[in-house]
This record gives sequence, C-alpha cells and structure tokens, in this order.
Amino acid sequence: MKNLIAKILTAAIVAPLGIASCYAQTEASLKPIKTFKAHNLQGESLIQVQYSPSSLEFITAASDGKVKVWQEPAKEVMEFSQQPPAMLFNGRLEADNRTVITAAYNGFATRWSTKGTPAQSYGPHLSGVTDVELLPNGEGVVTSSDDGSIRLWSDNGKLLKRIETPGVTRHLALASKRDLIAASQDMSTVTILSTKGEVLQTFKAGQGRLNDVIFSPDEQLLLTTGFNGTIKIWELANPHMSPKLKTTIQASETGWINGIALNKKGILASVGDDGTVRLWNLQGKELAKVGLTNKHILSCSFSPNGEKLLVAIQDGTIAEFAI
Amino acid sequence: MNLLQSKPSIGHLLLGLGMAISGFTLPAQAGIEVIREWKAAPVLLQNVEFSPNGKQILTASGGGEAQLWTLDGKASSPIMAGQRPPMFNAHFNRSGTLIITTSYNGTVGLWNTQGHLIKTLPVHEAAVADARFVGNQGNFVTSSDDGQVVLRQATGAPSWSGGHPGTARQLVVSPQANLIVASSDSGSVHLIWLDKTGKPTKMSTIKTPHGRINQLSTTADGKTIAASGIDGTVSVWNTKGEMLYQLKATTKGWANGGMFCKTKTGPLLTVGDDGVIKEWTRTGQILAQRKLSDKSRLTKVDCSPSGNQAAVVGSNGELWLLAITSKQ
Repeated sequence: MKNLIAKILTAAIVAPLGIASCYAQTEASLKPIKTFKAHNLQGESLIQVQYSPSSLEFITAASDGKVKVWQEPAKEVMEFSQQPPAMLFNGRLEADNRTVITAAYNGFATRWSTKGTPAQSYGPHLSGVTDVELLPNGEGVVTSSDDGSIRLWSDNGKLLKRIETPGVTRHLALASKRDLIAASQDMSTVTILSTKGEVLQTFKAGQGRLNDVIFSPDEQLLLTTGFNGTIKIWELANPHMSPKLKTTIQASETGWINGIALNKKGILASVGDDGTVRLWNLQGKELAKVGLTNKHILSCSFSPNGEKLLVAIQDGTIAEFAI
Repeated sequence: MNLLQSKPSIGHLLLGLGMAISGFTLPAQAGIEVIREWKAAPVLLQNVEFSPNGKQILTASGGGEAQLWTLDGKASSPIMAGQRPPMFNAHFNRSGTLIITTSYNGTVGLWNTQGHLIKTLPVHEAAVADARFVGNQGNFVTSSDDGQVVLRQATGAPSWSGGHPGTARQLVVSPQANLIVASSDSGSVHLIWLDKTGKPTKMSTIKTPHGRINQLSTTADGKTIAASGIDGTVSVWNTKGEMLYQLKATTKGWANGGMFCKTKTGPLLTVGDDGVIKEWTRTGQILAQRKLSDKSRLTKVDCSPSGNQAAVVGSNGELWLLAITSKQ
C-alpha cells in the first residue's frame, strides 16, 4: 500500500500535467513600470537579478563585486561584498528572504545573511565560480566553475563531491521536489545530477554556449538558451533518459539570448544582446516584446506570482514590468 | 609561499624558497627603470606584446579593442574593434605581418599591421580565450571556454583538437614551432608536440599547483616553461614535466604574468595583483623589483626581442615601458 501511494505520488510529480495546460497561453502584455540604477557598471560588465521565490524582495549581483538586497525597486535594504571585492558571476535570494548566496570570480561562493549570521564561504575552486545553488533541506551547496568542476559542499563548507566536466560549467538549476540539478556547459551540454551528486545523464543541447538553464515551476520541463539565439524546451520525464525536445524558439536573429524566466502561467520571458524583452508561450508564439535599450540585457526574473518581471541591463540599470 | 606538489629535489625547493625570500631583502628597483607610462585603454588591458622587430607594442583590452603603439607612446594603428568583448588576447605572427585577436563570441579576427581587418573567422561556439599563429603558413591554434584546444589551417578549418575540463585558457608556441603549450583552468598544462609539417605527434599533461594559469611562456630554446597562477606563484618546468622551481610573484592575489626574455640567458619577468614587477634569473634568484602602481593590478608582461625592455599593462588601462638593465 505504501509503495502504491509512493508510485501515485511519483506519477503525479513526473507527469507533465500542470504545464501542459499552459502551452496554449495566447495573450500577455509587457507594461513598463519603473527603471532604476542598481549598480554603476562600465564596459563589459555582468549583472544578475533574481526575485526571492517567496516574496517581492529581490537581489542584484554584479561585476562590481556587490550583491544588493532590494525590498522593492530602488529601495535597497542591504549590501554585501567580499574584501577585496571580487567580481560576481551570479547570486540568489533564498525563500527565507534572509539568505543570499553569491558566486565569485575569485574562486569562492559565499552564503550571506541579512540577519547578521556570519558569512560562510565555499571554496576555493581552481578558477572562478560561475554559479551556486543552495541544496534543499540544509544539505549544503552546489557550485560550478570555470575550472570545469561541479562541487557539492556541506553546509559548513566541507567539500563532499567533485565532478569533472569538459570546458566551463556555467549555470545551475535546481528542481528541489525531484532532487535534481541541471548544470550547463559552454560546449553546449547539460549534465543532470541528483542532489547527492550522482551524474544521471549528459545530453547535447546543440545551441553553442548555454547562457541559461532553468526548470519550469512544476519541474517537468527544462529550458536552455544561449549562443545561437534559440530557446529549447525539453520534457525531462525520466532524469536517466534523454529529454524530449518539445519546442525550439528562434528568440533572436542578431545575438545571444542571455537570460530566460518562466512563470506559473506558462509565460516565458527572454532577454538578450539586442536589448529587447520578449514574452512567449510554450508553443513558441511571441506574445509581446519591448525594445528597451541598445545595450545588452543580461538577466530576467519573474515575481513568485508571475505578475512582475525584472530585467537587468549591462550598465547596472534594472527595469520593472507588469505582465 | 606554497612550494607543494613538486617533483624536484628538496635541495631545489629550498633553493627556490631561500631565493624567493631573499628577494624581498634585496635593494629594490635596481635594474628596472620606467621609460614611460601612458593610458592605453579606458578599461582593463588583457594582454601586451612587442612586435617581432621590437618597434611596436600590441595591446588587447577588456573593452574588445586591440591597438598598436610606438615605443614613444603614440597610437600607430586605428583601434582594431568590432568583435564581442572582452578581447583576452592579441598576438603577432612570427614575421610581424599579421595580428590575430580573440573575441567572447567565438570568433578570431585577422588583421594587417596597419590595423585593418582582413577577415573574421568563427572558430568556437563559446568565448575564444587565446589564439596563436603556428609556423609560417598562417595556421593557428585556438583555446576556448568550451574546453577545446584546436589546431587550425589558415582557413580556420580544424586539423586537430583536444578537450579538457575547464576553460582552455592560455597558449604559447615555442620559437621552434615544434611545441604548443596550453593551459586549462583545472591547473593543467598540456604539451602538444608537432612534427616539421605542424602535425601533432604526441601530447603530455603537467598538473601544476596553480589552478587557473594567467600566462605561459617558454625560453628561447623552447625547453623551459613558466606558468603564472591564481595562487600568486610562478612555476618553472622542463618539458619532461619536472618542476624546476616555484617563485612567489606577488604579495597579494594572483600572479598574472611570467615571461622569459628570449635572449640566451634572459631573465624571467613576473607581475601580479600587488602592482610589482620582479626580475628573476633563470635559476630563480631575484635580480630586481619595482612597484609600478598602488591602485592597479598588473595584468600581463612581455619582454622585447632584444631583452632590454619590458612592457607591462594594468587593470585600469595603463601601459608601462620599462628598461631592463640588470646584469646576470
């Protein structure tokens, strides 16, 4: 009986029911609300913006070495940086709204607390840390790096596991309900791991360098984007088996797509080198677009209810949209 | 100083350690004089290289621009731009008639020495970290964030490739054109031996203690290799993969440069995050050091073909031309 219940629960998680109803989303609009300067960045810079999974607070992490926590657009509540400052590749605000994690060029990931708990570092890698995710249930942290490794660390910073991959491993995505990690490589492969660090499979995305990899909110779909301007939507029913390619979207003809985000209603946002913000449905139909800037847009994030979108421009400007 | 994971004898290690430490007690600045300094870019300079005749200096910047300079500090070419920044590297061919530049979007640019673009070749689907001409026929080798080192014909068509964990970052070709040395951010240095036709014949890998390596250099005879790393040290190796000694190149942060002057007994020059250039003998004894900046990191170094000048670039776009006067 226990096994049967477990099977039913597993089927409920694995079957792509929730997202299927979102495929036919036909309407959405982008309404600019506010822009503000979060960081003063010059030249070839990096900036990531990320909402908390549970509130309208968000963080920005940038190549000036600073990660900033914002209560709302233009209302900063806290800022962290290493000494000496190290360029940040990535950052996230966790669902508790007080834990921030960052990935830095100097080979360290750091967990910060807005409540004054001392910072905890994870490293060193042999080169820059490109991304970091907090594992579920306090099981520690996973990091990726220019040194080609994916590493799992205990909560207090002890190295637990090291997995070598070819080239750079650049982005991580976590499916916490399924205990899965997706890690993208610059040679256009995606490695699927368990949260214990077991490599389940590696598949070729065929998009050149991958600039982003995300799971859908129900964790059934995996989305990849990058070098060749496409977004690919994969159905990952069984993490041990090659995913099924559902849709390919040519999201830009003129350059990289740098960031994607998907809300619970099945609306997909993309930003890239062409300075345009676009919304899509999961069948690949363009629903809305706004030409925002002549600079690169590097990152985007939906609010938890999916009704707001933040995008981060190369010069440190953040733009907020209503969906 | 971290003298670990080495194969040399205890004697060699102690020699290296003693010499490195004694370096900090020597009179500073003997042997290195600043000839001039100028602002060569508004942002971080990624690389610097003398032309083969020693009359020009080539810079590559984080802003995606290459530029030629006279030794008087005057721009001697238009800015070579148009590829996606950052430009990690720009190099001359052996005769000094061509320049190859890298880009973040997977292309290399081929330019004449008037600074005009000849062609752009797509070679990787990720950032190109380095590109070097090999031999005299226009063939070249590229390295990339995709982890690949690829030997190419002049058309860009690949003729050989090898993949490794981490960014395939720095490349150097021995003056004899019989050896390509490539680094991976996992801390490995790969030796790719070429026959007279430029075809790879064998490969070996050295595991260094550095992690990411920021510059590679060989001596004029191609028999000794210097690797500068993010652990702040520069290690020196023979081509059998034996470490000869390891030098503390900086008092803080990364060692960003380690360059042998290509004269017969020319010194090794190192630079790092502490803003100091150091000059070392071929046996690892310090000859001179000079602080060039309190504010900027020194990001790369090159030695002139005659061995009596050095060019150093910095994290705020500075270029220093230096006289090297120490006698060994």
